[in-house]
Amino acid sequence: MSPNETQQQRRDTEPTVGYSSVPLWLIVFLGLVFYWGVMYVDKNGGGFNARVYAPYNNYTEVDDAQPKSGDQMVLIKGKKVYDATCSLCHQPNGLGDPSKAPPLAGSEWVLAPKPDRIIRIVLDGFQGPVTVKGQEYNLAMASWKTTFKDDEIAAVLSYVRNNFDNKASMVKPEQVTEIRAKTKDRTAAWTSAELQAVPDR
Amino acid sequence: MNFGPFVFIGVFCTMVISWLTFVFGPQVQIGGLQQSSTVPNGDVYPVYRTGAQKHGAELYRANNCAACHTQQVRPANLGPDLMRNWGARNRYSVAEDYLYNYPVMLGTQRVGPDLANAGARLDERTILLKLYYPRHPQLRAQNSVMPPYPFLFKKQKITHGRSPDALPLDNIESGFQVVPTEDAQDLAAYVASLRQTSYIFEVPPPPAEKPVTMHSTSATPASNTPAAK
Amino acid sequence: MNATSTHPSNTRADIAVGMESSCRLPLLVLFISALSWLLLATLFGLIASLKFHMPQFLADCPNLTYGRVVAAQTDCALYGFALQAGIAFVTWLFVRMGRTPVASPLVLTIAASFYNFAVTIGIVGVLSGDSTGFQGFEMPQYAAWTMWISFIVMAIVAVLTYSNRDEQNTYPAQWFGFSALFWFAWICATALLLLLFKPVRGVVQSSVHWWYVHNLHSIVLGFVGLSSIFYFIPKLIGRPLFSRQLALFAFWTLALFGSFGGIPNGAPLPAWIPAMSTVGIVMTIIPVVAIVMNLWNTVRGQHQRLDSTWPLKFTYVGLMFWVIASVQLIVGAFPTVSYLTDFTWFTVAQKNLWVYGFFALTMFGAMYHLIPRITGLEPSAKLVSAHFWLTFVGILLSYISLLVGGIAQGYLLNDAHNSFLQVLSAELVGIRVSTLGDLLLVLGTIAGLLNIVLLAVRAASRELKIVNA
Repeated sequence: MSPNETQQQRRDTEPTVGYSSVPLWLIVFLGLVFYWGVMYVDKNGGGFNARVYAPYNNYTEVDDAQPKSGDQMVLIKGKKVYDATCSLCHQPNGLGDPSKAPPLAGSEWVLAPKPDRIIRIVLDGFQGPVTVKGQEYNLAMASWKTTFKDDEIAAVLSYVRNNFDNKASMVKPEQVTEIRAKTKDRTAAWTSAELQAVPDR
Repeated sequence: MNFGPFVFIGVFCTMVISWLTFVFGPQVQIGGLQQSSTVPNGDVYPVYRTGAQKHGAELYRANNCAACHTQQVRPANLGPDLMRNWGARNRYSVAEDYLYNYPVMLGTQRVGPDLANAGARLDERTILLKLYYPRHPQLRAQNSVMPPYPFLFKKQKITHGRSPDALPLDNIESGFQVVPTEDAQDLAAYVASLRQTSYIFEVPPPPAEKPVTMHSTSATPASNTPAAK
Repeated sequence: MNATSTHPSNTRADIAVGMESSCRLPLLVLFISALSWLLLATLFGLIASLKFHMPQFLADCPNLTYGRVVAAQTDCALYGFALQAGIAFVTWLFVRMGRTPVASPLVLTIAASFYNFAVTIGIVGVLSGDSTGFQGFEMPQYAAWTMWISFIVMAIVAVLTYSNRDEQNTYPAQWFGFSALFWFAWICATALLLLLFKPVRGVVQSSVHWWYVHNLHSIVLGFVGLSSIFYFIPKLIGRPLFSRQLALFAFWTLALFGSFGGIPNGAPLPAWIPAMSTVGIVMTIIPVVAIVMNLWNTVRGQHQRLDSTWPLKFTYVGLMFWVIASVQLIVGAFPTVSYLTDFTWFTVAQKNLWVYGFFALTMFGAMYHLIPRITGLEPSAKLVSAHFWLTFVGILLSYISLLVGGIAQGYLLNDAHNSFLQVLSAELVGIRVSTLGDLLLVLGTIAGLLNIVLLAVRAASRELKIVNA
């Protein structure tokens, strides 16, 4: 088999070097692998956040995944309804539009201690002149009693009462059910005068 | 030209980068972790180990149990750990789980099953039996390769009636019993304390639409049978 | 362009050999100690392997339970064998290439003795239950600090030797060797301080620990082995290394990317840490390609000469194992693969191939070249042959069986219908076959140790004859 080296062989000269340059394709390959690396860390690195563990991708995801209290879930649902439907007239910021809808932010109707009036408005709609925050409006609002269920109406009203710098009590679905039963035969939209007869505190 | 100093400085700078990434960075980010509160109850997590459990951890270290057992559960997208019910309540491991451990014995090999949630699956008596006689029929692991640890136990003559700690063994002479030493009991207490069942911010509970599988303590010990289908 | 100067006259060559014989005593001490520790490591490995056939084998003795034996095996191999062989080779390289005698043979010998003393009490400590609990770093503090300080002293001797060199231009082998010494000093100091002396909190320990073990294998052992490869292959083939620039490129890319790594995907650490580790490991494909390219072009057309002498044979087989083990590490870093292979015998196989395949073989190649040079005596060719074949077949058998066992383990674990014990049965086949490989490794190491000891005895008796004459 292979012999040991001879002493002569061991006196061989030291290794020498050639000077070919690093091939371009290797540099390009390095660039490509580096690019892959950056993409990988971007996707799997959790934004370098200390509280983000796989499989979450960023802090917001972890935050969103936290369990919410009952009230928080209601408000999230209410926001969904508001953004899809009410915001078209009452505006996303709740400030209303003179040609479409009165404001909800700071509205004394919304902030009334009992939500009985606003539940009726949502169920059967509104028509005729009304004063909101000292301003006169004469617009029309559609009826939503067939579109939304009681829990959805309760959720959106809770949202409106607790958003836009408003602070008021949550609205429970039972309150909506009760009023829906009371007014089940009504077909016309409410007017301001009719609602003044409904107690709101 | 003497490149020596340049080589040195270059090597130094290159090393600093990896040192910053894996030593300094983690220390800055999670080196000062404190106890966190569970979600949603707000209890404190994790809790310190008590004396017997701490001593048990020392024995775990001394006998290098980590040579065959890991103590880390990987999330579902990175390993089949949760599928094998090694994570109680479908929960994978995060930094908080090891907050007060020294040394942190995560292990790198699974010759035996993962033990991060051994306390949720096994009770102390089962663990003691496993330590003395891993292939005991009761454990349903006839071809286990776990070594026995007889030096953690004492074989003694039954004098004042059978000890409640005596192991249920059939193949010892009558009049004798095998009882665990304090070391064995501490080690069993440690293993039985291994539990990562609290949800915290970093690992919140799964959404309510998907039911969480609760793992009861009466699950089959040590053989790690697959989840019921 | 300028090539490193040749040695035109015999007198210069004789002076060179004379300089190298200045390190005869310390290098013999280091290599014999290293081989002894390797023998002990392979014996522990065999014992551990046998326990998979009979779990109750030696189980009554607390000092020889599986966990402690495996810990002792790892530390004997890494600290007993690898670092000693590594520092011996690098010191000789600096002497040889720098054409300067070793800075202080006496200090080197004394430091080597302290080093061996430290490892001895460390291994005894591990077997007695004083293990630190960090795999690959189990020696207790009293031993580990002593070991580190002895290493620093030996490294300083090597660095002083290096700075005494007569040729300012350096060759890739020197860059790799120098960096490896510095690197070990730093990573070991970090591990000693942050894991043992003033431990960091919680899983930061794991990050530091994994970083340390990865760098110890990939950079310290890797660079020493590559130093030997870069030195011997061009030199003994008689061809210039294909490209200095390519070697430089590989050096820096390997230093940068190779030092990132070791964190398993899915570890209980914030997501960015395993992500950075994976990226680093995958990017080491670049230096692997660069080094393979460089050496392939160096030997092109002269492949048959790689088998012409033992040092070359050991070295090029070591290089092939380096490539295989590096590629395996890269493949295993991808999450889709690590899903199956992490925590299985797959990773054990890779580490074994790295230490007992790549590193050990390159060090033996260096050893069989330099020991005859520094002593003027020939080792027995038969024992060298036995050493090579037993080690080669042994590591290959062990590696392939553990690799297959590990992959089977991973696949079976992936299906929840397979009970854990069914998975165990499947992987046991691989583990039991690897016992034969472990046995061959023991025998091969005995052949190597015997050879060098006999040679050392002859050298010593020659010294006595000279003294008495």
